[in-house]
Amino acid sequence: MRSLLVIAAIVVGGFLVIHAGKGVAAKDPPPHGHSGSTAVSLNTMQTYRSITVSPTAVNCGHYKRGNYPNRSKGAMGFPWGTCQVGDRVKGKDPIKITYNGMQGYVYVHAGWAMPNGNNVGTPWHPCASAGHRAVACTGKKGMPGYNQYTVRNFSPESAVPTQLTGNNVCDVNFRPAGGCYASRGNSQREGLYLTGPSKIPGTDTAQSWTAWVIWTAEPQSIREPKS
Amino acid sequence: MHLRGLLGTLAPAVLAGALVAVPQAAQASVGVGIQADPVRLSGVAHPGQTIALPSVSVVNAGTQRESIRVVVRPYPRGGGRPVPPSWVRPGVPSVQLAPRHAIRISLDLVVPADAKPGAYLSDIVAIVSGQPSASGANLGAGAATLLEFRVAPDPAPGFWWSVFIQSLWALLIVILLAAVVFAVRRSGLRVRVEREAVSYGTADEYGGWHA
Repeated sequence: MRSLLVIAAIVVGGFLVIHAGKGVAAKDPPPHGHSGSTAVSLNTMQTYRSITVSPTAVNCGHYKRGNYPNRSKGAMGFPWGTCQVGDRVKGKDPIKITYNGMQGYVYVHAGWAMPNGNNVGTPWHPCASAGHRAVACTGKKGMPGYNQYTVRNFSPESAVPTQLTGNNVCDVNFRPAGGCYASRGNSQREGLYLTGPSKIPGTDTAQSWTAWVIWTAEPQSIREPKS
Repeated sequence: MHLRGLLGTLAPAVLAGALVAVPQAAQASVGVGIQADPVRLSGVAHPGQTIALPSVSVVNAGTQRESIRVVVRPYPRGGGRPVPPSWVRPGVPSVQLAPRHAIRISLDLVVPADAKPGAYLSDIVAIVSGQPSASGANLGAGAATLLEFRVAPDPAPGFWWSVFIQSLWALLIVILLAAVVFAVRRSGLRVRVEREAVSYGTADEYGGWHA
């Protein structure tokens, strides 16, 4: 009995020694000495990489397509109604994207279109008419399925609109030559074409939706030269 | 005459207000910036380790107060293993920033015990998405910087030591319990538990009760 208690006391003592050693506080830093000083102001280069999009939201207009009775000039019709932000043919590109800071690239992707307010609605996922199966449109002839939509962006720099998906890709409309390379102060004006889903589920009550398009300032690869 | 005077006084103020208000409404923008320097871990991370990464600076580059969040995404231009988003935990889920204001956000790297060794490369993206509009398209902005670190093939140096310490603690507790039991038995102390005999009735087939 006594021997067991002795063993326990030794083990506890050992642990106390081990853990007490960790709790030793660092020494206080040496006190500051007396010194004179003067303030020097200077400017430095911007060390941020930033992107600015103006305006913050745009309305979709020029509604077209859809089949009677699901067709209107004031709302997106079904199936596959379209609307547009700006007009590529008329040179109207209402969205201004401005890159600033250290050089990099401008990438772009689309987000889910969500019903506004507290209305019930199946979110629409951005899809691609061609390309990767994971984001492919599931409707007829590469058109959006019942819970999908397509977004295409355009700019005066590009000959044809470019389809966007949820994957972040180089925005060739920002700067077709040299990929989507961007440096301090570069800006571009762009517009959007949207195509809606094949149908709306009967359980959906939403009549107003908001789609998302997000531009991202991407850094250069670590292997790419820094100028 | 008085009306003309009043209009003459108010007109410049109204015009000035309109000139200030209209361009602000027209030029409202959403924007975000992030430090250009990569977030780079000095040294290597070990499987099973949680390390504080260097904090990342973000700035609201837009004209409105915005909520900015930081997420990890694959670097779209490739290179290295992509960092699983769950490995990086920002100190705050999102920050509210006034226009032209910046803040540093702390980041923790949580490397799981089964992490594959090698060089990891991803984006740390600051995203600002503004307020949803009535309808149409909402426009968002993101700014990315690189996140780089290496994971070593072996666990952290202190990993086995912590396992050793925990095992010793478990052993100590067992020894103490054994000592207490032994001491109780040797002292002749007995804890007597008496069970009270209770007789319960049983229901008969007519639904009545009898003892």
